[in-house]
Amino acid sequence: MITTPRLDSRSFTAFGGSRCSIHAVATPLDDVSACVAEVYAFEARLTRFRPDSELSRFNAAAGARVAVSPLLEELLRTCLDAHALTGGLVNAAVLPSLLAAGYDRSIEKLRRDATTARATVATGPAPALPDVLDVGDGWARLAPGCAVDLGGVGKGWLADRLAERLDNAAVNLGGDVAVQGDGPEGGGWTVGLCDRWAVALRSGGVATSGTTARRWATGHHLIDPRSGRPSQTDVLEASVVAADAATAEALGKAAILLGTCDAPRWLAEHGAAHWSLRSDGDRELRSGPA
Amino acid sequence: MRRMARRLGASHMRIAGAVGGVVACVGAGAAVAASPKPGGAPLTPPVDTAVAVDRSTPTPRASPTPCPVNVPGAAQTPVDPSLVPVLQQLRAATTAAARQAILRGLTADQRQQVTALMRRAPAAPAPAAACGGAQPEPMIQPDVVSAAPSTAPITNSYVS
Repeated sequence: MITTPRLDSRSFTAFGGSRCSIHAVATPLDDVSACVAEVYAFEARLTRFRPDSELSRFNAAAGARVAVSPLLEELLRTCLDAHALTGGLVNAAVLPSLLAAGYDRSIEKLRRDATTARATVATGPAPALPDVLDVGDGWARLAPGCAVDLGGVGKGWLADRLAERLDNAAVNLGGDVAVQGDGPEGGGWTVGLCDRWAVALRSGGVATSGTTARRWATGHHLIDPRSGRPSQTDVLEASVVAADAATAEALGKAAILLGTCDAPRWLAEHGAAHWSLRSDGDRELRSGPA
Repeated sequence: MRRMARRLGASHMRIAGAVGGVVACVGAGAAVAASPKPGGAPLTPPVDTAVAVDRSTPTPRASPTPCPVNVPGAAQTPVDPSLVPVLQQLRAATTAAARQAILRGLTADQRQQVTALMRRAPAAPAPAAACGGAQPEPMIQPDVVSAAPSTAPITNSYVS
């Protein structure tokens, strides 16, 4: 078995063209390759852009109680946790609004087919996720007419699991970063934030949310569940450091929706260890805890 | 109490518990039978049809999601039988290297399913505070450093 002498970095593309990387110290190369394979297996099972994925079949069966794999069950529970943590600001049930906003195909196709992108259609506020999603042991049920998108919470969850497994690694899945271990130099893993600063961590997660990517002619992907429309916010990007990447992802998304006035206090109250908010074209940067 | 339980043994304790339960139920039943029904009390609780639940507005939820209730006899997850021994081995493994060695024999999809199953609480009920997930995670202490060239980050978090 070949083991990396010091630091092995593997870059690849997944989740609709997002840049991903796995950095590991003293880890068998096969284990790193196995993690990359898992990212692709995860995407194939849970993408909403393939009608035969488990997530698509689950959404299509809305109204019925259906058997779900342990993985989908776990992720649906994680979505419920994110909803509870953020007071409903992170809501996987915004998928109908996301489709109505025009995000009805992969982002690469959407950018390529800019002329055929649909204009935003108002759907109204999204229903609270716990009101429309029941999850049990091996089964789940969506209310009729509802659909869920696992979004960044799923990426964060997977980054957390892979980093845990590799023991001394940083796993970056489209900007959702989970780290575990002392890093290549012993001082932790350094992760860059949206304000060009960095944090060094031995355990935890970093995620950056924002409206600067996944944009198309008529909107962007960050739906505000209170309105059911692409968010109107003065925060362009928010990087959040938290105990794990899934939590950081949820907190970052909520910070964007809350805006620069409310986000700092809210983040401090909800377990964020550090954050950077970028607003108004780099002219204003806020980081905390203050 | 714990010493007494050890002396008596589990079967004695079960019998004592059952007897205690019967006594408590009989007592509660007698108390209910003795209490007078309030005059004019309806047989079924009234339903206020004027109060409509508006589900179109997201409800701010300050409280965590309710903990799942273990219902005896409820359907359990149909776990792939081939993964059962793997789960047992993983639960017994004490090091990351040992866990990795077990996972190497699985396909990528099987590793995902096993990882998800491992996240579930084992048979023993978890303490109430451990469920829900809405509590803020314990604070970690990141070391914030400048991203100058000498301390270039190994990886960057970005909007994707």
